[in-house]
Amino acid sequence: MRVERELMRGAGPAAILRLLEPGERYGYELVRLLERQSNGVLAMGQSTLYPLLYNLQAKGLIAARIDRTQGPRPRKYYRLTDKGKRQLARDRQQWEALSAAMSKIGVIPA
Amino acid sequence: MSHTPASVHRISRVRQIFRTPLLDLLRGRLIDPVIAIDFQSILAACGLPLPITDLVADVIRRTRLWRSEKSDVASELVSHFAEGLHTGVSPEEILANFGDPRRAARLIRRAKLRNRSLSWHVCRFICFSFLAICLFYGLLAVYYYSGKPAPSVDYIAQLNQPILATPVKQRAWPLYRQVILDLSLTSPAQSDYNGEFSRMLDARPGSKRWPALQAWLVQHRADIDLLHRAADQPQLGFVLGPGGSADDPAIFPGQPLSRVTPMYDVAMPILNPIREFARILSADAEAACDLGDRVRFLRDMCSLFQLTNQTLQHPSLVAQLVSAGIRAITYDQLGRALSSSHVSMFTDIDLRDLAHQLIGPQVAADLFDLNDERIFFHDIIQHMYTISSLGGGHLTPQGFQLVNRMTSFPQQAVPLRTLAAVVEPASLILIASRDQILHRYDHFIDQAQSLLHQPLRQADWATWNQELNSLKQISLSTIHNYPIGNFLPSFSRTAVTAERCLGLRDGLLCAIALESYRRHHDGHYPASLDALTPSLLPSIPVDRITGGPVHYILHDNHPIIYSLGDDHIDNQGTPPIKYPYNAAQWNSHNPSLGDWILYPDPSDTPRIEN
Repeated sequence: MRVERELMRGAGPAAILRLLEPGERYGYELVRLLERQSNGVLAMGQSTLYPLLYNLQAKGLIAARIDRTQGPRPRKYYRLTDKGKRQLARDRQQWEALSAAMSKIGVIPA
Repeated sequence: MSHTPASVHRISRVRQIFRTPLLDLLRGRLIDPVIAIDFQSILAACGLPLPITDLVADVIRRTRLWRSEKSDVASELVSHFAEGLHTGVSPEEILANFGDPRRAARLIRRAKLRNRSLSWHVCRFICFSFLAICLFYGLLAVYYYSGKPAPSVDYIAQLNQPILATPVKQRAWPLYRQVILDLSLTSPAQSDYNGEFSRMLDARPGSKRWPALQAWLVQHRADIDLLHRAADQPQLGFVLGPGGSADDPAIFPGQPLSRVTPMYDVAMPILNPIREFARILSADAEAACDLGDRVRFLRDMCSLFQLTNQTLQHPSLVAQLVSAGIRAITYDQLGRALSSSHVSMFTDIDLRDLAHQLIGPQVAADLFDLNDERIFFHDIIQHMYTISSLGGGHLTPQGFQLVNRMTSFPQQAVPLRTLAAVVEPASLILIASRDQILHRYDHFIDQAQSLLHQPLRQADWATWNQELNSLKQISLSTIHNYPIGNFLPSFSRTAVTAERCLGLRDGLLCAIALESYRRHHDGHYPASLDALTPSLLPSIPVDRITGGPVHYILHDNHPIIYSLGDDHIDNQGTPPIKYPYNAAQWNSHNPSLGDWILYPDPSDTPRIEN
């Protein structure tokens, strides 16, 4: 099942921030992790992922570095900034509250 | 699959700083100095299947980003697809997973723009703002230059209606015109105030030019009689506007109408000859008095009074000022006759008739009607503004040209004209609309007219003048009310002119009553003016400065009627020594010591030194 675009707009950034929480990752890695860890629910095409990464970067939530040492082509690694960590904490609280509320009113089974 | 050296470029530190987003800059991080400058080189060197490189190229082209940004995105996408292929995903599957390239390009562009530096965002904001202002101003200019005045009221036709309805035989102007032609009154020699003719008209018995004046009056008796006949007509009959009485090269040579607006030319041509008529009639009255010719004197007086009223029919404030001037000449002449030894030539009935001709006006508004000025302004505005539609009508290029012509603004050089043409559309924002201007102007005129109905000592002209002056100083308010500041005069001086005129008239009424009293009391004047009421005077005239009754004193058995003047101190009928009429001020900061002599001419009375 794929999530509708409007829902994905809210969930996508939080998911990316969460995936970057353990450490830095490059684009393709994020795509695969999203697909695998969400069982394809949060899978997003590259046309969505990279603009999303650039937006998070513009907001200062993530930072990028280019690594030319690993392999034949340079890789761009993204990592969470301090601001991004705080944002992830807020997102987490909000998603928990939302999930609880949806559960309470029966949208999600308790 | 590495980049070729040609496709990689190391940018300078300055460009590196400029291109780094501000937040990164604040954190002390700069963008990668090693960037590929050509995304096509990256794609050519990447070794990916053609459909994938085509897709990446398509997306990158659509982003319309900077070269370095394109290279950055290309490098990342190439890396992404290479990783995918490396993990065994087929090219078809990768392409299918990518999504819509147009949408991708749009989103990438938007996100990359957000990543650009603050200086770039500031520059973009300034450029967009400037373009928006230019566009707005361009539309404003189109709107401004497409507007044209559309005069809808023919004020000239309205004002000419009663004139044209009067039979030609009852119009004075044809007769006055004949006098002007006979005496060449509009020739440079005769109309020169410092010329011999003008000086001769001011001659008094015993002066050097008096014989010449007497001879001239005898020589031009027929023209003076013509003046009397003209003054007897009920209508001045000066037809206004183009094709009217002013379009007469025979008497107004070299004075072509300016054609600024039809109303603009109304006042000018006729008033100088009318003033000369008054001076001729006054000179004739002086000669008649000197000869003791009662009938001739009274005839001249009667014509002067009628000329005063005829002048008021001419619709302009300047004409009303000229009328007040003629009134002053008449009062002056009558005052000299009453204070002379020839006063005995008047019968009791003559004195009564003269008094009846004097009474009437009580306040300044009886001498000045500002509606003429209102019509003049409304006519100007309808030639300056578009009709009152959207936004209440706006100023037009023709409006500015009209003001320049009316104010004799010098011809501008081409660069200045160009600058003016660029700046003028701003008037749509800065200068009030036609409706607003007319409303504001009418407010000023209504207030002034109301003040003219009040005695000057009570009228609050200071507030009115303050409000007017605020429109004449350099301020936004001045620009906003630009036409009003240009064309609205201060009417407080008009009120002073009227009050001075009426004060002299009050003095003459007292003088006539005193003369009547003297005749019936064995040559004795009364002890006070109270003795004159109500049989010879309905009431004692009010001192127009203090509000009390006018004062009266006998000096060498000659009566002096006076106001206390601006100092409100009774100086026993003694005027200021240098300028006797300086006492006729209202609420001045530095009042002159001395009284305002209403009768007789203060030159005949002793004066006080300030």
